[in-house]
Amino acid sequence: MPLEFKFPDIGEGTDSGELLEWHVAVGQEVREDDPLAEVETDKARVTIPCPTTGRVLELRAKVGDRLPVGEVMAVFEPATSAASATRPSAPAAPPPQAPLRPTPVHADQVVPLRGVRRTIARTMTEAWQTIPHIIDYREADATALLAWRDGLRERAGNERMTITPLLLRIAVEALRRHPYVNASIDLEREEITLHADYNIGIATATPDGLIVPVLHGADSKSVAELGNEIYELTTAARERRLHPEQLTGGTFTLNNYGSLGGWIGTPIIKPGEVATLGVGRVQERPVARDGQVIVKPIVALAVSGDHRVLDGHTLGAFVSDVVALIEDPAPVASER
Amino acid sequence: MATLNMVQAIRATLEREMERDERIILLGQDIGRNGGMFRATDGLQERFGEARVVDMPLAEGVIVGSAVGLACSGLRPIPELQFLGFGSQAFHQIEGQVARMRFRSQSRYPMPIVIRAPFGGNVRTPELHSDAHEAKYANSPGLKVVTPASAHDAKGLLTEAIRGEDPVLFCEPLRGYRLIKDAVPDEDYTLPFGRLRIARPGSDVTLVAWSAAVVVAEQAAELAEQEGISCQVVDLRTLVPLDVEGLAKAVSATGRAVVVHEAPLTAGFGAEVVATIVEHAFSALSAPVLRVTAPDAPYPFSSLERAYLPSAERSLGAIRRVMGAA
Amino acid sequence: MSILTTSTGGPTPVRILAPDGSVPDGYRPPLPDSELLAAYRLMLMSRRVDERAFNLQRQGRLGVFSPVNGQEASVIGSAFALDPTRDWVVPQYRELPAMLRQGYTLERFLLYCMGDPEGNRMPDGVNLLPIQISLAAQIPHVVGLAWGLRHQGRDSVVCVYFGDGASSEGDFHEACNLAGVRRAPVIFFLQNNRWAISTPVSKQTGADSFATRATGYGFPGELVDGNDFFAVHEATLLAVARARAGEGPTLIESRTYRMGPHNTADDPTRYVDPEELEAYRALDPVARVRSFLLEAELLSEELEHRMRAEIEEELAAAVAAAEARGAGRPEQIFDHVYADPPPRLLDQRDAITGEAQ
Repeated sequence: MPLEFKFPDIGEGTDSGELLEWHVAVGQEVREDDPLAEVETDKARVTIPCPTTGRVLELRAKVGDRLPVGEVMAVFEPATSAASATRPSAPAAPPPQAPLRPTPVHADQVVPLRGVRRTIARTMTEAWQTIPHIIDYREADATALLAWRDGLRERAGNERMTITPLLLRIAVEALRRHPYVNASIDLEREEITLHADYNIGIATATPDGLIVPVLHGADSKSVAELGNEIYELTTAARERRLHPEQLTGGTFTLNNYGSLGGWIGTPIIKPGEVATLGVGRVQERPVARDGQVIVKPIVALAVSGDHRVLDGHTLGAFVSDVVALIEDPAPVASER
Repeated sequence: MATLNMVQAIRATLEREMERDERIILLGQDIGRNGGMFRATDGLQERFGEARVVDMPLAEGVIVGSAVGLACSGLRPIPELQFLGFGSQAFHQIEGQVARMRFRSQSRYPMPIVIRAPFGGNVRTPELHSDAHEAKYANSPGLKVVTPASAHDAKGLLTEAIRGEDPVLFCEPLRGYRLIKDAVPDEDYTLPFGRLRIARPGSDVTLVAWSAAVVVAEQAAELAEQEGISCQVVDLRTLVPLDVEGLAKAVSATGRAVVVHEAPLTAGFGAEVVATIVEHAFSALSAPVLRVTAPDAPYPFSSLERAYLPSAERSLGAIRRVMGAA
Repeated sequence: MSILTTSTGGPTPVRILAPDGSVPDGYRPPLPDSELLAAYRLMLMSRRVDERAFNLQRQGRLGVFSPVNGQEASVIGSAFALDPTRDWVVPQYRELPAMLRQGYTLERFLLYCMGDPEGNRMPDGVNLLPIQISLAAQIPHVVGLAWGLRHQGRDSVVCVYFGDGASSEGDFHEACNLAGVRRAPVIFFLQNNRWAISTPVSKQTGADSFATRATGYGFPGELVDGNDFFAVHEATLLAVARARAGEGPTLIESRTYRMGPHNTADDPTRYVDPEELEAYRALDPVARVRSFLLEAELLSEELEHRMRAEIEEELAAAVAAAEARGAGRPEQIFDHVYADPPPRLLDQRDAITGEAQ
C-alpha cells in the first residue's frame, strides 16, 4: 500500500516550510532515514529523511514551493520484505536539476515573495529609504593592476588569480587611511562607530538572488588567502550553505559587477555600513595622455557613500586613494 | 467533647495522626522548639523528636520541594508555610510539581502531602502576610484546596487530608485561630471533601463563604434578621473538590445568593461559585448573584485592612440589593 | 589542545584520559573490563539514539527530542559510579543513558518523546524520578528523597543531573543549602555543557567555576573534565563514598560541551562559533574511550561491529513497540490526576471521552 508522507511539524509549532531541494527522484529506491529533502522553516534549515524503505512514487512539490504542515509532500511504495530493503550499491545521484529558464509569460502571474528574494526586497527598501546616497564615479588606468595580477598568476597555486582580491586589498588599504568609510551610524544613539575590523562583504549573484557573504579580517590576509576565501564564500553562497556569521558583521562591501559585464553601476549601501565600492569590467578605452589618444585598459568605479557620515570631499578623498592604488599598487603589492 | 479553638484542634489532630502513622513528618520554619508562629505544632518536637518535626531553613521553595522528594521516598510530609502570602515563593513547586507529580509519573509517585498555610487578614500583620490566594491554587489541577471555618471542621478535614493520597493545600484562617471556638469531639473522625455545611438555616438569601468569611456572613445574617430577611449561610469547606450539587440545592431553596470572600473581586474563587450557580441553578434565581469581596487593589497596610476586607455591613448592603430593597 | 582548561581561566578540571586515549603511567581504571565495555556500548547506543531520534522527529514520528551528543562521558561516567539496586538517579531530560543504566527502557523513552505520558512512568523498582522539564525544580526533590531514604534507614545515594543554566534558578540554591544543613546523601551533578539553549555560560555566571559554589554551602565541590570518562567516574565514586558514609553532599561540575543542538527545534548555527565546535569535536568523549579500549586490546573492530548491530536491533524493536502503542487515548488526560478525583473532573472526563468516541 502506498505511504503518503505528510510534511511534519519539525519545530515547535512550525506551520510551513520552503522546499529548497529534493534529494531523491521519482522511481528511486530509498532506505528509511535516507535524505529526502531540504526544507527551510522560520527557525532552521533541516533535512527531512525518508520515512520508509521502498520506492519513491511521487514528489508532490517543486523547489521553491511552500509546504504547509500536514500536506502530503511525497508518496512511497514501502518495500514488502527485508530482501528488497537492501541499500542500492552506489549512493543515488541527485536528480538533474532543470536549468532555470524563464518561460514566456502569457498572462499575469503572481509570484510570492519568498526566501532570499524577500530578504533582498526588505533590505533594499530599507537601504534606499534610510540612506541618502552620494555616488562618486571615476575611471582608473588598470595597466599596473593587470600586471600585478599577471605576475601573481606565474606563481604556483595562483593560476586562477583574478583582480577581485587585488581590489579588496586596495580597498582595505584605502579604508585604513579613511576610517570614516569603514564605519557605521546609529541615529538613535547619535553615534558613528569607526570599525577596527575590516570585514568586507562580497556581493555575489546567485540563482536565488543577491547574497553578500562577509570576508572577516581582510586586513590580515595575503592576496592568495583573500583569493581562496572569496572563492569559497561565493561558492558557498551559490550553494546556500553559508553560516549565519558568514553573512553578518560586514563593515564595507565590494561589488564587482564587472564580472557580469557591467561598466558603470549604482551600488546600494548595505544597511549597517556607510560605503560600497562598485567595480566595472576592465575594458580597453581610448584615453588622452599628453595630448595623444592612446588605448589603455580602463576600469570604471562607482563608490556610494552614506551622506549622513560622508561628504563629497571625504568620500572623494577615499576614492582618489583607491584610484591611485589601482594605477600604482606598489604600496600594497610589495608584501607577499 | 471539648471546646477548642482552631489552633488547638489542629495541633491535637497533628499529634494524633503522628502517633498513628510514623511516616508523617512535619517541616517548616520555627515549628520545632518555638512550636510554630501560632503554636500549631507546640510541643510536637519534644514529643516526636527532631527527625520528625524539622525546623527548616527560611526558604518556602525547598520546604515544599523537599516534601516532594520525601513523599517519593515513601514518607507523608506535612510542610507548613508560615503564611500563605509567602506561598508565592513556593508556587512553582506547588503548582508545577506537588499538584502534578502523580500525573507526571503516572501514579508511580503519589503525593500524600498536606501543605498547611495560615492565611487571611484582619490580624494587623505587616505587608504580604495576609493575602487570600486560594483561587490561584484552586486553578492548579491535581491539588485539593481545603478551607475550614470551625475547629470541628478543622479536625475532621485535616484528618481526611492527612489520610488521603492526594496533595492538599490546607488553608487555616489566621483570624480564626483563636477567635473561632467550638465543640470538638474527642474521638477520631474525618469529614469527606466536597460536602458543604449549612452553617445557618434561612429562606430568603443564601450567603456563600468559606474560612474566616463564614463568620462575616453569619454576622451579616444577624443584621439582616433584624430587618426581617432570613439568610442561609453556606460554608463550602473545600473549594477543590467543590460541592456543586449542594451549592445548587442550597441556592435553589432561596433563589438569591451573595458570595462573600476576602480575596480581590476579579478572578477570585467567587467567580467560580457564581458561574457554578448560574450553570446549575439558573432557573431558580430571582435576582442576580452578587459578590462582596476585597477590591482589586493590593492587600493594604494594616491601618487600612478593615476598610479593605468584606464586612458584615457591606454584605448587608448586597443582601438588601438582591432582595430588591436598595 | 586545552580549550577546556583555559577558556574560562580559573581552576583546572581534573583530567585522566587524554584526548588521544592515553592515561597516566600506571593508571588502572576502577571498573572491571566488562563494565568498561558496557559503558562504551552505552555510549554507542546513546549516539545512535541521537541520530535515529532526529530522523524520526524529522519524519513527524517523534515530538521534541534533546540529544546527548558530546556529554556521553559525563552522563555515563557518573551513572556507572552508582549502584542501580540502591542508588537513585534524578534526571533533567538529557540523561537517557544514565536512565537506561538504572533500568528505564528505550521504548518508554520513545513513548515519552511521542507525547505519551506512559513514557514518564518509571518502571516499578527502578530508582528513577520522572524526566523533569521545569529546569532545577527537581533539585529540591532530591534533597527530600535522599533525606527520606536515610530517615528510613537506607544507605542510598541520590545523584541529580542538571546544567549550567539550571544553576541560575533559586531552586538550586535552596536545595544545596538544605542539603548542606541536613548532610543529605546527594550528588549534585552539574553538567556545564556551555550552553543553555543559546545562552553561553559567560552569561550564566560571573564566576570562573560552578564547583567553587559548594564551599558556600559547606560541602566539597569538584571540577572535572566532563569529556573524560575516567575523571568523571572517579569523582563520582568519591562522592558516592562520602555520601554513603554519612559525610553529606558533593557538588560535581562536569565541564563538557553540547556538540548538538539544544533540541530538535533548535538551530545552533545561529549562535555557535563553528571553530569552537570544531575544537570540542577534537575532544570527543566517545572517541577517547574508544582509543583507550583499542589500545588496551579490550575492544576490537569486530566486537564494536557486533555491538553496533545489537544496538540497531534493540533500537528497531523499541521503535516498533512504541509505534505499535498508537496515539494517546483521551482518558489518559484524566487517569492519574487524583487518587480520588473530584466528581466535577469525572463529568469532564465523560464529556470529553464521549465526544471522542
